[in-house]
Amino acid sequence: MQDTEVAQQEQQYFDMVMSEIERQLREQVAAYEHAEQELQVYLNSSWEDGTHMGASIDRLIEAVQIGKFARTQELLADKRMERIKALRKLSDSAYFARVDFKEDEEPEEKIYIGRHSLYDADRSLLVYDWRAPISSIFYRFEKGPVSYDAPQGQVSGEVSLKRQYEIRKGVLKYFFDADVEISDEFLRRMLSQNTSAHMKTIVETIQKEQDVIIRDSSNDLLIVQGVAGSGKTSIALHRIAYLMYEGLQKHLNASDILIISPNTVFESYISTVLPELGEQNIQTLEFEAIAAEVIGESGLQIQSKNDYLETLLSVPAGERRRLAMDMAFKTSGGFASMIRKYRDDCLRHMTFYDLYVGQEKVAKKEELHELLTRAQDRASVEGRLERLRGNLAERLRVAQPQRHQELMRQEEGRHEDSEEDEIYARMTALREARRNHGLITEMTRLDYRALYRRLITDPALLNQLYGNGQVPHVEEMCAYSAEHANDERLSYADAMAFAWMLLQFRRNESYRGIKQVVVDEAQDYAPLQYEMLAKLFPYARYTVLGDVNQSIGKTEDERVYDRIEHILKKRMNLRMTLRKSFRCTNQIISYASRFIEDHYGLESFNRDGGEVRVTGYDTEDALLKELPLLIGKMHEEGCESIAVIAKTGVGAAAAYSAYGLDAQLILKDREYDLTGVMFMPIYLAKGLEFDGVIVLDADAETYRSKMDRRLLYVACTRALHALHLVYSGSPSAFLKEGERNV
Amino acid sequence: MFEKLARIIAETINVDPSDIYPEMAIQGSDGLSEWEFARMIIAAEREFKIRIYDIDAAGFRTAGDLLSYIKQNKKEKEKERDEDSPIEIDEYFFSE
Repeated sequence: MQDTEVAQQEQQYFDMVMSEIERQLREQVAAYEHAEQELQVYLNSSWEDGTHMGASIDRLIEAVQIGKFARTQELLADKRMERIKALRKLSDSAYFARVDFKEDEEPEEKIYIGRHSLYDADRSLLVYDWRAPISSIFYRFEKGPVSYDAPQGQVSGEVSLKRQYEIRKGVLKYFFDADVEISDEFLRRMLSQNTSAHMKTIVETIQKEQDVIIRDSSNDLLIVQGVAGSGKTSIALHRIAYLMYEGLQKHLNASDILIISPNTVFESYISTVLPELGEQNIQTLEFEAIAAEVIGESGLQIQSKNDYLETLLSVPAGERRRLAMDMAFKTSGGFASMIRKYRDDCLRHMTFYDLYVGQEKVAKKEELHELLTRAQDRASVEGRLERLRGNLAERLRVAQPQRHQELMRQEEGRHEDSEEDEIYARMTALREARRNHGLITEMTRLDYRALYRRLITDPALLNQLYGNGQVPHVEEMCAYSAEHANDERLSYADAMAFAWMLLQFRRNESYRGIKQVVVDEAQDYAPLQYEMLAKLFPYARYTVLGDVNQSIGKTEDERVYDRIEHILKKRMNLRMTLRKSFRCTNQIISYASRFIEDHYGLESFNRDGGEVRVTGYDTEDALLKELPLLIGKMHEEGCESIAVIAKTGVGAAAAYSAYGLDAQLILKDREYDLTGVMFMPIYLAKGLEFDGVIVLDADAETYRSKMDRRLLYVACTRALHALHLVYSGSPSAFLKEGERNV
Repeated sequence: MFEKLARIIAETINVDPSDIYPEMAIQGSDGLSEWEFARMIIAAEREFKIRIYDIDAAGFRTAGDLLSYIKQNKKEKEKERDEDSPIEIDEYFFSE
């Protein structure tokens, strides 16, 4: 198959690399075990010395030193373990590409690229990490003149060879030369494989425009609009791996990075990518958790986003309108600024009292007001109130001795003995103090829940804060809020707005250290939520990825990104668009394109599959009876993971119980093993992918609104290889629309 | 320290010190009478050689609140006294 001489050379290099990996692996494992033993011996001997006992300072210092030693050893051991893991991965697949690069005046070099770097004993690089600056030429250029950004500046030269390898389980299976960035044939083969329960890494097939996003480190806010299946999430994760690699010098580590994720199902789906790339996993948070942290009431129940969506999609139209309106208003940028104004309004309307100790006035109410609302005060409202509380208590303490004397004079000789006189005097002093204590508490404590309730139920107040006439539908919205004011659980919208309100009154330092925030499914968050991010992570850089065509529960367009830029206010912004969908076959992407208006130049990676099937049944029963057959057919076609996707959780559950064969119902926000046959609602299928997808109930009743149309788009674009839409009665009008050429 | 305080409270309200526990209310509708409370505060000030400010005492609800106030006060006093003493063993040991 290959030129024998070239093949021999490649095999030689491969054998050399493999023996180097094995040598290092042996060395590291031995060193690791030796260090473990040594530490154990050391700890045992110091224990026998009795160093841990006794109280003299010398002993304590010694104990501290032992502790320090043990910790250093532990850190070293961790580092070694990391290296061992990396070497084990390399021994499985040492590298996947090679470029022959000649820098202008230098001799030509063979650059082998793998998941991790590998040095030999002379510190020369046998394999370059895919994230190394030089590796970018593999992803970005064809043969010919190239350049890449290195720490010391731009390096240019010429590439004379690009080669890709298939190395699995420590065996060099084959290799081929490719002139283009990444051979389409190779990628097509990768894409034709079945999907797995967890997202896979893409280091071998990163596309040029994807690479630009992964390696961007000059922008504070990077916004990526990417069509379904363009690899947004994957790119985000590889970008994190890149930033951590690059961050080795800049002290960026796993705890400095945060992913805002839509739900736990999604979190578990992506959880293996970073470990696969040899990096520690990083914190993922849902917005509900952020709101709960800000609100900080233990035991508080907050409605999850999924619960909101399920309700929204399953209630009758009139109720849906009210729900959607409530959500749209309470998470709007307008409401966010009204809440800002409300804070000042609350301060202005606080009631103050004069404070007395005996006849002496120690604080005047006007003065207190002034103290609290002073301009130029950088402290939070809560901070100011606390300061005020301390200030007033101190004044009362200062006035105490004199007041005690006065009272003693009054009581002197009025009781059995002087001790008794003193008790009566103190009793009066304490009674006065109790009154003052009550006043101070009243003046300096805010009942936030009551303030919030007032805000969302008082139309006049809202109009006044709006400052621009009437808030649209204000009466109706306030009535709706009033109806739910005593609900035990805070609705998703209220939780967001309430958390935002609290952030106006008190600081939250929980996330101060976060330096990088990745927001996935960005189109699903509202302006008020971005305001929250800006406030909670003021010093962070952002990677924001979304697809306006996949917004659920509302309709969005490109303006969503303008708003994000406006709210996050970063110095350097970059917006990128990914048009090519890699996930679906040509047939699926063409079919799905009928559900979207603006397809952002949607392109399909040229991969053919079977035709999309659409089947109608007379009744729901007939449809459900046929389901095992349809699923069986997909199995026969080679699909391993098959999702039966309904509009709502209720729909998915009904179909699941009718199905009766081995399958999973994915309904709750928790971790699942995403294999085999799965029934789920669309909002939980978001971000995931399956070999085959059956879209249930694609009838005129179920899918009728603009919002429903987008749901169909999301559902259909989950499929890699096979897509089948089924309905009973008459089909949704959207199914009849013409497809577009992509 | 709590035993000492329990004795003071017990003497004030004429019960056995073993009946006093940290969660016991000393102020409010289920607490001591105003007169008892005043007497207890004076006695505590003498016993522990600290000053209890009325405005702070107004915030006590339980015997435990009073106890932590006393502890806090003692600590601050000691800190003033020990300002120039060389090393805080606790701090040294537990830092890092």
